[in-house]
Amino acid sequence: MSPVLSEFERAIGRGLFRVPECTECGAAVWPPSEFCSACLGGVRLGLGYGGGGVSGDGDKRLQGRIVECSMEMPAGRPAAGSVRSSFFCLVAFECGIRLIARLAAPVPPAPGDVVVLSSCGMSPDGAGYVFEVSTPDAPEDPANPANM
Amino acid sequence: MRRACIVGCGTTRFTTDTSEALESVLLRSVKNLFDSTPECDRRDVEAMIVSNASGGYAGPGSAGHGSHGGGNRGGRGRPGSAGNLSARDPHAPRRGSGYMAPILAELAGMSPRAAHTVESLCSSGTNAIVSGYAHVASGLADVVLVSGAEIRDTPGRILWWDDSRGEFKHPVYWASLLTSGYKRAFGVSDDDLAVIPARAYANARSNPDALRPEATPTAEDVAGSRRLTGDLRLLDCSRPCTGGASILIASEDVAGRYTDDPVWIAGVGQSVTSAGFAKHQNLSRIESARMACRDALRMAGSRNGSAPMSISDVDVAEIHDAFSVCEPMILEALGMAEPGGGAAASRDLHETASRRINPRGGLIGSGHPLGATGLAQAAEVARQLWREARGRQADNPEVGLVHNMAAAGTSSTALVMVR
Ligand SMILES: [Zn+2]
Repeated sequence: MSPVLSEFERAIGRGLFRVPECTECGAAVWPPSEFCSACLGGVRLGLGYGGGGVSGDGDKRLQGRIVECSMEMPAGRPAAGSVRSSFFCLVAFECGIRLIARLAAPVPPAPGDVVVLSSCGMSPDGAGYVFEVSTPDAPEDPANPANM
Repeated sequence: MRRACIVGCGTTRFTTDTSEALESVLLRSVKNLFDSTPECDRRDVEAMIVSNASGGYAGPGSAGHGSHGGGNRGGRGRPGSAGNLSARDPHAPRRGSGYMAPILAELAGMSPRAAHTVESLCSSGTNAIVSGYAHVASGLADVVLVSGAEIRDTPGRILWWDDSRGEFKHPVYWASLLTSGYKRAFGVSDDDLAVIPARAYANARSNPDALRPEATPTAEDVAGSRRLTGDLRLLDCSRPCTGGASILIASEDVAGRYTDDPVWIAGVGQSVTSAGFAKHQNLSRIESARMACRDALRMAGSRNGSAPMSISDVDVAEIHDAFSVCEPMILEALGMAEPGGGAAASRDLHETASRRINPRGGLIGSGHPLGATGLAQAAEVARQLWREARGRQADNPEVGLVHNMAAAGTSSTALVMVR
């Protein structure tokens, strides 16, 4: 594994999303790779964005907008007492990265809705990354705190 | 460039059997091909191209839900991606192996000059045909056997490399997002899409190779089938399965030895927009399909030396309906419907019981053995042009088209075939 990729995975394993950036043109490089797909420049990891209380770069949040979404089921049904359902959303972040993330929300989200990356990590079975987003001012769901 | 044509084909029944060896399925389709093309001596074959989506991964752990095939995993350190050098579990069924084309050559008693494997997930089959076509057109070979197969639980079902999909890597998730995007863009309903599997299964009833030709779900059955996500029902999905298909491609110089009714590969179009799903810029259209089909028709027209060929010239087509929504999106990409008009076109096909699109039942009706799918599509179009499609025969087709795609439509290959 390349040094950039292993560094990226060490960070995401701790809940920190470090944006891979080209050292030449500054573009976000996604998925993380050794070289920039725009100019084949080198890649470094930028400051990290954390969520859910994980220390990142101050209180910065990676913000984006929903491109499209659908609802998970049946596993995505809300927990007993929860008012939220679970959706999977293609999100376009301001830094240029697009990815599919989970969103727990009381009503179906819509394309254009603003969201922030609220948590990230490695899936328990090691099959890849997991991402969760939330609406910037979403109130906490008492029955489902894990979704925050 | 020399002209190249299809002079024979052989297919196997599609099944759910996961105990078969990949080479056995390949060999059965090759035997069926030579049984139905007795004029061709196996020693005439100068090159063999095998199509398979497993990436040669045959190690332990390749079977079953939740496993991690290493074949298309890009070395990000996930299970199975690091090249397991331990011995293969002797009890595990064989999903694939490296060196499969020479293995097939040996098993079929052939010693071609060239034998290699093509892997590009669900479009491995047509990409293998393009490789075979190029061998013939360039003069490298006069006769090429192209053979594809897959075992149902192939690791090629999931593109593990695509970390932009997060934990949503199973194809039902990209299909759900395309469905949601398409419905939202054009005001299409779930009921509008429910007629697509109903017609697919109805057509598959007369396809003897189909996975479940006895299945006869109605649009109401589709609508009532189990919801996998908010936008996708069980019967909207094609099923991975075990199956094989082979075609024989010959140059114009030698085709007359094998048949007096060749099916010419008149046009080839290919397009790759990305590998990762998240790079799709517009979820209501499949751009790779539009470009590949446009280029295939353009090439077919120029090869004919006549007026440019258009989609209205196509009498029969096999298109990659991996999920219900793919059919209207591809009809629009082909130009058979205006943007947003694909669902109405699909309904019209359903109400007229048309055989113009996916006469063998497409992927939804027939099953989807990944590495064999593109070859089964091409074999079907050849049989249609030969008027050998029996109960599923389209009306006097002279021009056929195949559209085959991979990885959420991030790449497509199209062929125009002419009698
Ligand atoms: Zn760059």
